[in-house]
Amino acid sequence: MNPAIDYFDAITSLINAVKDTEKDKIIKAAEIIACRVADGHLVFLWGPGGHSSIFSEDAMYRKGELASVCPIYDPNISLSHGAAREINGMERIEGLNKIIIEYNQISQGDIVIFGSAYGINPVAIGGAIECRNRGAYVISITSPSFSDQSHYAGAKHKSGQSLYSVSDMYLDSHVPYGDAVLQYDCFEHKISPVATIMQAILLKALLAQTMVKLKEMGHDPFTWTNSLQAGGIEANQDYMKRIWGRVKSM
Amino acid sequence: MNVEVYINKVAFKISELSNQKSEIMRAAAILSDAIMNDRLLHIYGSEEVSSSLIASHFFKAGKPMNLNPMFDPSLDPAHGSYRNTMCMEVPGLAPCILDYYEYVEEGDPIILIGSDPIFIGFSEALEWAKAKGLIVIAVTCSPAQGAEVSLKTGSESYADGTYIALASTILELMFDKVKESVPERFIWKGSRFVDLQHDKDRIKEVLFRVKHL
Repeated sequence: MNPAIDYFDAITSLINAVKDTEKDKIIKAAEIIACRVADGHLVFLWGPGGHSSIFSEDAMYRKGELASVCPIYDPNISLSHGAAREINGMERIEGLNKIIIEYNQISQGDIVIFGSAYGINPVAIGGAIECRNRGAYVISITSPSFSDQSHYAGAKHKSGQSLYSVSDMYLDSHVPYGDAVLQYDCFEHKISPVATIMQAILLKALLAQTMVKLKEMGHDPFTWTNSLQAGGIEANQDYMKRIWGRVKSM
Repeated sequence: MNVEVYINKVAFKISELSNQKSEIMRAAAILSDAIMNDRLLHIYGSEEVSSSLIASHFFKAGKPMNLNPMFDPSLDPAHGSYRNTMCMEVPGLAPCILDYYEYVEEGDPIILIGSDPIFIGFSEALEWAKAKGLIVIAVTCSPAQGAEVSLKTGSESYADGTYIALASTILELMFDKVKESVPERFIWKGSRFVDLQHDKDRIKEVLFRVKHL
């Protein structure tokens, strides 16, 4: 038994599966995002669940990353104010989604990339529907097979719908039902979840594709410089001034 | 508003609080009794302003060490007042906030502060507390049905400019009476701030029982 190697193998296998099945959709999604960014719109990143929110934080104010993103860090939908508070309660409250969208001023033409392996909770589903009602384009990074096998009504949106079915398009993260991937006789159930890694990898791939697409279109997307190196803060400052007041999480 | 008129208005309303002396004493007795039985004194403000009033009593010299504030980012101005005001009207939010606190036992007292008891954030908190078997001490503009003790601020509304002064005075009077009624070891020491050296061991006693300490 070598759990570390088993985990690496499981992740590698999932990445290869995503690479094989999602590459065309990534190219298509990147084209859509690039066109909207070129028109001055923001790309909102929203993980409407406790662990799901992690992937959006990773892309913010980071060297080499597309700067016109706006991660949504909502204190109700985040592990930072209590994991049980969020997972057992907040993400199931209908109505919080509209507040988060209004507060972040998501509007016509914006892109919203949702990330959620389960893709079932009321804030996620209600959020995607509301974003589309406002004229934003919704792309989900989610696992349809995971959603389809999640039957517990207490954790789901009242419509019973899943994130992939209420989005304009989705990228399949291939996260298996239950999230954990390693099975050993000494445990009653599988251990070692993969959803955060898969969401982050798909987002990285999508943003890389988008940045290059923007270049191909003749635009020069601003990408952050490392603020921890000499001159880094100064290099970022002009762009930062442009998005103060638009990006709540800046 | 004319300065004198305003000051006279607040002073008059504060003086009227003496009409509720027996109720304030009763609330203080409930809190003191809970302290003597090693219970936590839960306290929740159902709106941004009501919640912020708690800060001047929590972990402050001369105040009870068993005070357990139920703070939440949904009511914290650091996370956006516009956002918080929208949150106030979301059904189910107050019970979700309060369910997060693990050391809540039947028979514990809870002080619920709210500008108006008809607001959903307050009424749902009161329903939640009653369902848990807590003893509710309400501090509101108008009477709170279902509370064991209902202390009225006398403000016409949150917006009449007197609510904060009156609610704060009620809390001050209540906790002052508690301080007189329980042994010193249950009250934080210090002149301006809690004496961290003196109370080092007592902080450890409640550090993990009181979530926001």
